[in-house]
Amino acid sequence: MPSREEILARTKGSRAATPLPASEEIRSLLVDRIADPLASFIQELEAVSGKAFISSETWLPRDLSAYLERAGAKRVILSRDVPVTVLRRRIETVFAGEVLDVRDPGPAKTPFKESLAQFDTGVTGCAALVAETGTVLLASSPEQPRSASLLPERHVVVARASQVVGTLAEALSRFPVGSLPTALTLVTGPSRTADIEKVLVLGVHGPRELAVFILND
Amino acid sequence: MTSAPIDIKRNIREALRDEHLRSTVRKAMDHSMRKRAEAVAEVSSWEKLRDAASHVRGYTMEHLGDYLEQFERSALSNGFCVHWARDGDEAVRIIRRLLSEHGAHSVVKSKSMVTEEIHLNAALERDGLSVVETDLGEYVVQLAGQTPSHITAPALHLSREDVGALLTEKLHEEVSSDPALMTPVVRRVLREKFLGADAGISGVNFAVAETGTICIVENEGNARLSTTLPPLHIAVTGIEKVIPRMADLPLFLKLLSRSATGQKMASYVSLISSPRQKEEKDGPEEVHVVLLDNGRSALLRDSVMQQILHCIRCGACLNTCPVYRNVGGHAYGWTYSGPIGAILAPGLLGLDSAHDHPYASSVCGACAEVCPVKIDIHHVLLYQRSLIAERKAAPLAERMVFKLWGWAMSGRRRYAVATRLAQIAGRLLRRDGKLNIPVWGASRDFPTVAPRTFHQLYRTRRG
Repeated sequence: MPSREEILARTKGSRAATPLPASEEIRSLLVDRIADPLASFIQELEAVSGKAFISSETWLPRDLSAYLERAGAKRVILSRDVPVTVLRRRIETVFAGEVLDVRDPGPAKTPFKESLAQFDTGVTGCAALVAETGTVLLASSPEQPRSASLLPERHVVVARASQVVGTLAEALSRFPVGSLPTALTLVTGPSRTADIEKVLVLGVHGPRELAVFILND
Repeated sequence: MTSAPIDIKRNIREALRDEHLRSTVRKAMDHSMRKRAEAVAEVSSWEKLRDAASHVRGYTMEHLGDYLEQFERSALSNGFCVHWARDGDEAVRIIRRLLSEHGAHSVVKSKSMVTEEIHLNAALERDGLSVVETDLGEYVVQLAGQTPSHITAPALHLSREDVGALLTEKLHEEVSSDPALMTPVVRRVLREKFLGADAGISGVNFAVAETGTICIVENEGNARLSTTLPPLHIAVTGIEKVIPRMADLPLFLKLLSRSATGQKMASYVSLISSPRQKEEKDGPEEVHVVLLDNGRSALLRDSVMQQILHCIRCGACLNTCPVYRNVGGHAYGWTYSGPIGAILAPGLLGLDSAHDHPYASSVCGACAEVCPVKIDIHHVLLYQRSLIAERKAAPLAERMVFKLWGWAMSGRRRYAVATRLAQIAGRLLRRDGKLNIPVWGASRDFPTVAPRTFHQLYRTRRG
């Protein structure tokens, strides 16, 4: 018998069991009453060594470039889902470093991942911010390649305050079956390890720094 | 399935003599347990979450075949390829074939216990492939030519000095023993491997039947890199990792993160639902999921053993176990260690190969208390012991001792005489406040006999 049929034959034929709890029942167990989701998101993000900044659509280019200068950023890759219009041109007028668009990240012959590895900062939008855990939900798309939030040492997220939701269950319920992106990534703080004697070190393989700019318009 | 018996007793004797190992493991375990306790105390509904998770796991195992079919259907419609492997050899064959069809030379791996279980690395290296483990701890363990000693913290048996010296030797450059300084070195070395890899191999934490999604939980970003950069991604999973719905995932992520590391949420959780789509600039062009049985389906036939499959591999039972804390993971002589390893070994390898594993426990129940999906680990241990006892009679001396014990304990007068004799023997054999009776091994003290029995104390104090 082929392995598939053999394994299915061995795993089928169920005994009686109490029915599965309904999805809503599980969601209701996970609901935490959060009085101020935005404040909670910021608190949780900072607890995992992320940085939060409140800004606005008007002020973002200046706030972002001030942050990048302070951090010592030189080369910035901009994904196309950042919820601010003509950000690249507006930021170029105030930021001394180089800012490139993910559609055109480097010489034509260089593979995309090699080009992306040359940037110290990746700026992306997001699908949601989760108040309960300080989590940023990233949905991959042609506008937001996965490498933009992964290869550079610094990941900057630009989000709207209206994107904050209470729990992960709420955030995931926005993606009905059949509408999931190639990759949905939950990011909670910078890359970290405690593999050696439980000593916490940031920035192992992913970004060492995570900053979230929240547009409170 | 059977393999050569594992001599766990010898391993334990050796581990107990290694003070360096014991203090390194104990320090790490204390840290993990403290973090877990804090994270669990914050959640008022923790017990309800455990009940719900236990219920979902139980129901899923009862209908495992249906959920596996549903997962396959969803995954295929997402554009994944799905492979079924009845044992480790078949899984290894499938993976070798995929890699050779793609002309792959270099492979990056993100931490996966199931690929340790099937000894994948050794097989791929025999094919002449370069296989690099990319989780920091697992990379260190690979360089040292060892295997992981913990489900979630593979190198916890090594001290920072051990690791600094190892990296210095293997990387041919001076590497500090300060974790903050050695990490950037490993980042630089492995970044090159990621960018040049032809294939990425990962494990799976949860496979969502409803959506055909594979979920991978990590902290370092190496799983994201392994599943994003190479053109081919092969995900290997035990068949029991399937969960019914996306709505179940937040429940398990909450329990897993807090139980494993005391985090509210692991740094990175990847939910991968398809290969690279048209117009997308990165992500693998092909994603293959290998569903591995390797003895798991046989456990479904026994309602006690079935619980072993509920495990979500958080490692909390290892951290809290008095046995694991003293001997570390390698003493178990197999991929999975600690209490869960002690019941998985007889479950997957068979009682003949792992007949001593259910005895590597004090049956204190600390493991069951912390288990996020409420596996009755110590009861499974006792159950396996009873199966072993049924198959193989105990030595004559042991049977005689227990016969005598049973006879002495089952009569009022015989009991009184026996305790009196024990008191006298206790006084005669006592040295330095301890009883020097070596029946429990050199590393364990025999409990002393109280100078006065409960009955004697009761009589004097009542009056």
